[in-house]
Amino acid sequence: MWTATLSLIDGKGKRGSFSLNFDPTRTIAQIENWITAITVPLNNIIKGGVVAISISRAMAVPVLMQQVPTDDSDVEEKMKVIFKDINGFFGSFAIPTLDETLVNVGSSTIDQADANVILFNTAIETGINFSGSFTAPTTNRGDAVALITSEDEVFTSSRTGR
Amino acid sequence: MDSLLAKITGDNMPFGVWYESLTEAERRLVTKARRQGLLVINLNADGTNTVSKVVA
Repeated sequence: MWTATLSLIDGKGKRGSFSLNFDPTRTIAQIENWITAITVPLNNIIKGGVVAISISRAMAVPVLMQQVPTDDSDVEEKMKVIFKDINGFFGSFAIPTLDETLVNVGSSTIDQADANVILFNTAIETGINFSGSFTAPTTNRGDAVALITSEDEVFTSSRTGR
Repeated sequence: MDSLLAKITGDNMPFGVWYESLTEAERRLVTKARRQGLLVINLNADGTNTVSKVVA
């Protein structure tokens, strides 16, 4: 199984990260393509900067992926994604430096009607098309994600990055 | 749901063009329509995103 980890930094110099797993039959190029392809929706979900990506080895941050954090970005502010795999098991990951404008007013839920959220969720559930072959993350068990069941704003502790 | 699908005017319509044509209520139905297999959103490695209607 491949594990891709995206490391982010916020405007206060604090760091956070999130990881996604990929089926072992995927090539590194396919996983890199998948990560590059989520650049636009991810840029509009986060406010921090992506400073490093690893897939069991270092991957250059895609040229267009947001690298410089906004001054008000905050790694303690995250979008927690909970999903169910094809066998009914639940998994989750949390993306630091969530752009709080994506949070529904009077709620902690993420706006599911936002274009970039729709694209990001499609990339998770359906995958990204590479010459007719779809690449999508798996759970820790190596199973495909069947359904994102919830996306919410959460606040967690952070560690100092510089 | 019908109005949302009616705005997909061809195969591999640019996602952004289609999304901008939707009302707020229609946008809230996009994920449901995708999960029901009524439409396909295609994210490509080159960054282009398209939408197609699934014909039964």
